[in-house]
Amino acid sequence: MSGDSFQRWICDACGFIYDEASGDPDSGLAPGTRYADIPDDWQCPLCGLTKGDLRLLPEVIQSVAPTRPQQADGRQSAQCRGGADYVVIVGAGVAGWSVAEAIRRREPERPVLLVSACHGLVYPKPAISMALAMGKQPDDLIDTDAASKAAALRVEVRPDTRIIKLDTARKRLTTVKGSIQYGKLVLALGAQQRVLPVSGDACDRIVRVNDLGSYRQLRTLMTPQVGHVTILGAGLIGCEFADDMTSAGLAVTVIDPAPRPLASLVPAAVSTELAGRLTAKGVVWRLQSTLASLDSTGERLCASLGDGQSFDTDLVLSAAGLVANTQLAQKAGLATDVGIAVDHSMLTSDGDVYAIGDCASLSGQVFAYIEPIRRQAEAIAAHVAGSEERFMPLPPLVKVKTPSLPISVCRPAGQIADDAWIAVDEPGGGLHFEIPGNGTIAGFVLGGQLASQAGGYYRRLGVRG
Amino acid sequence: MSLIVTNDLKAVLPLEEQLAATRRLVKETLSPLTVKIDLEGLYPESFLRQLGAIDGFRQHLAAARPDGVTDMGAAIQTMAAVSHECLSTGFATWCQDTCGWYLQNAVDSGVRDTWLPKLASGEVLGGTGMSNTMKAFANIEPLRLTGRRVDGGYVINGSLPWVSNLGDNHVFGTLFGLEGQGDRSVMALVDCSVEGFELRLSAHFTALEGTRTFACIFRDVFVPDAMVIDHDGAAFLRRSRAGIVLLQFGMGVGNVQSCIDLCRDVEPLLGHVNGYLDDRPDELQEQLDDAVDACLALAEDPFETSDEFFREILQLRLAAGELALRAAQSAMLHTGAKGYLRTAPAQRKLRESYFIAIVTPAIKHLRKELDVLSQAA
Repeated sequence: MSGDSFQRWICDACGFIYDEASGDPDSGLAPGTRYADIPDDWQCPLCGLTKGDLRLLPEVIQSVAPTRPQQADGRQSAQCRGGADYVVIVGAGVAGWSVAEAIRRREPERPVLLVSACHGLVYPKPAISMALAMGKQPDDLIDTDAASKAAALRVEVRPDTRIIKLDTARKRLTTVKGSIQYGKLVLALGAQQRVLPVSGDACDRIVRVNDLGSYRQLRTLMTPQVGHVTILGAGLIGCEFADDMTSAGLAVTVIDPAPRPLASLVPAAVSTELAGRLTAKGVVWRLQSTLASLDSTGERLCASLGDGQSFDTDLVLSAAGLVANTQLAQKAGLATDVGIAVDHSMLTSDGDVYAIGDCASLSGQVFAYIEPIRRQAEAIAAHVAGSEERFMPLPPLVKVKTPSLPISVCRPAGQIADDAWIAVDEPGGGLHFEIPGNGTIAGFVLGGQLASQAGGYYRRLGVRG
Repeated sequence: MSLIVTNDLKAVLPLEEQLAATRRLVKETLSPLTVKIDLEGLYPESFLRQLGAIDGFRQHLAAARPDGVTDMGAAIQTMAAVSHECLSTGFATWCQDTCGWYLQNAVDSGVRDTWLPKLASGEVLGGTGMSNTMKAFANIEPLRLTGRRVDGGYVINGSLPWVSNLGDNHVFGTLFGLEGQGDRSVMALVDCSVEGFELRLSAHFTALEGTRTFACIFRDVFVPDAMVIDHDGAAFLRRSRAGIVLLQFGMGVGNVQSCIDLCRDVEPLLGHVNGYLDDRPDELQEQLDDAVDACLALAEDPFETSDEFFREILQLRLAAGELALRAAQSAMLHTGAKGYLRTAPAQRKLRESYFIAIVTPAIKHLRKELDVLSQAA
C-alpha cells in the first residue's frame, strides 16, 4: 500500500477533512481506509452529515476573492457625525449642493455636512433625457465626484448614507452607520417618479428614471435586442425621451391619458406641431389611454391598454410626473402637503429645519424646476446666517429639450384655457404664443428657432433667474 | 398579501407590559439555568413554552393577532430581553420567531392556518433550515436539498448541517431546489417526525449549547402540498428576507447591552483603572442606542422588498456583529479575572458574541453581499 495514492476528502458542509491515510479512528475507521470502504452509516464527526457529503478535495478548491473590497461598507465612521454647530444638508442633488455653495459664499467657516443616500456624484440632471442622441454614456455626464466637490467647497460629505429617521426634538438623524447631530438641517430630498397602477406579471419591469443610478440601469437594459420602447407619459420628460430614443434609432410608443403631448404646459397648436414632428420620426401616440397591464411573452413584453388594445414592446419607461419625497419629514411630524411645507425663508414647521427643491412646497406648490433652486438656496443661506432673503415664487422658464422642436415656456401656475393663449405672428418662422397681462405679458411660449430667444422675453416679464 | 385575522384571538399585551413580563420570566425561570444551558447543553424548553404563553413569539405575526399588526420592533425587543441573559435561549427564540415569520409570509393560507397559531403560542417549537439557502442565494455554496415533483407534493433528498431548535415534534422551514429545473426552488415547512427524516446530534460548540442543534438528513422525504409555504422559493425569500435579518437584531442588541452592563457593574470598584481602557461603556452605549434607533426604524417596514432597503439592513447587521465583538472584548477587559472564571458571564458573552459574528449572515458573507450590492447600485 503506497501512501502517495491516498486521497483527501472534505465535508462540503463543515470543512472536515477525511484523509484516507489517517482514517477516522474515533468512528472506527482505521488509517488507510479508502473512501469506497467507508460504511454508508458513517457520520461526519463535526457536523453529522453523511459519506455522500464528502467531496474529493482538489475538486472543491474555490477561487479566492482577489482583494477585500476597499470600502468596508457598513462600518462606523468616527468622522462626519455633525454637531450642534453644523448645518447638515440631506441630499446631494442640485438642490443640496446649491445650499452648500450658498452657505459657503456667506459664511466661509460655518461647519457644513452634506449627507447623501447615493454616491453623491455631481451631474446635470436635465442632460439625462438627451444623452442618447448625443452619444453619451451615463458616466460621461458626471462633472465630478462628491469628495472633490466637497473639498472644493470645504464642506464634509457622507455619501451612501440614507437617513432613516429624523428626531427634531434631539436634533438627531439616524442612519445605519451611526447617528448625525445637527444645529440646522436642510432637507433636499428630491422627488420620485409617480408609480402608475399597472398589473401583469412584468409590471415590476417598468423603469423609472429620475437620477443617474436609474438611468444607468436603463442603459444596461437597452441591449441590441431592444427595438421598441414604450414611454408612459407625454409630459416634458416623456417627450424628451421620445425624441432622444427615436434619434438613437429606436421605435417608440408614448401612452398618456391626456389628449395631446405637453397638455398641461403649452397651447394645443404647439402640442400638435411637436406631435407631428415626433410622428415623422416614428413616434406612435396612444393618447387618452393608459397602460393597464404589462406581461412577459418570452423574449418580449406585451403592453395592454385600458381600451383593450395591445402591442409588443421591449422596454417600458415611466415618466408620469414627480411626487415629492416627504416620508421622512412626515414621520418626524413636520407639516407636509404636496411637499414639505415651507415659508418664504424655506423654513419648515420646525424652526431649525429647512426644505428645498423638488421636496419643498410653498403655499401648496412644488417648484420642480432648476431655476427656483438657486434662489431658494440663497434664502436658506441668508436665514442660517441670521439675515433674510425671502424666496418669491416666479413663473419659471422651462426649456423642453426636444431637438425636433425646441420649446421654451414661461407660464403662471395652474390650468390655463387654450383660448387664453394668443398667437403672435412671426414672419421669420417659429411658434410664438403669449398670455396678455397687465400692460405686459403673463406668460409666453416660443417654439422652434425662436426658443433660444426665451431669455429676453423672460426678462420682459420682470423675472430674473 | 391577504392576512388572515380571526376574531377569537386574544389581544397581545402592550409592549411595555410584555417586556416587563418577559424580564420577570427571564429572571425567575431562565437565569437559574443559564450556566447549565451553557456548560451542560440543557435545552430551555419549559422557558420557551412559557415565553410563548406570555406573547413572546407573536408580536410580529399579524395572523396571530386580533389587530392584524406586524410589530417587528416588539419581537426584536422581546428577543433582546432574553438574549441579555442567555444567547442560546435568545437564538432559540429567533428560530421560533423566524419559523413563524415564514408561515406569516406563506402564499398558501392552508399551511399558515394550520401551523402559525401553534408556533405563535409556543405549543409547537420550530426552527429554520435557511442558512444554506441564504448562502446559496449569495453564491457562497450550492443548495443542499433537492426535491422532485410527485403527485400531491415533493420528494426531498439531501442534508443540512446544524439546524437549531429542533426535536421529534418540532417543525422547521427550509427551501429546496427543484431537480432538473435550473434555479427554481420551493419553500416548505418540514415536520421532524416525518418518514425518511433523521435528526443527528453531532458536534458540540464553544457556546450556544442547549439549542438542540442537529444535522438533518432527508432520504426520500415526502412533503405534501399542504406543507408548502411557497412554490416559488426565490419570490418567498425576497418577500421575507428583511424580516429574517431584522429579527436577528434581538440577539445582537441583548448581547451588547449585557456586555455594557457588565462593564458598568464593576465601575464602582474598578472605574479608576478601567478608565484607561478603550470602548468604555458610555461609548458603547451611544453606539448601541444609535443602532437600536436605526433597527427599530427599519423594522417599521418589514415587507419592503427593495435591494436598497435590504442593503441598509445588511449594513446595520454588519455593524451589529462588529459591535458585539467589541462589546464582549470590552466586558472581558473591564471585568478582568472575575470575568475569566469558568461560570462568569463575561467569558460566556465573549463566546456568544462570536456567534453573532458568524451565524448566517456572517461578517464575511455580509461584506461579500454588500460588495455585490454596492457594485449594482
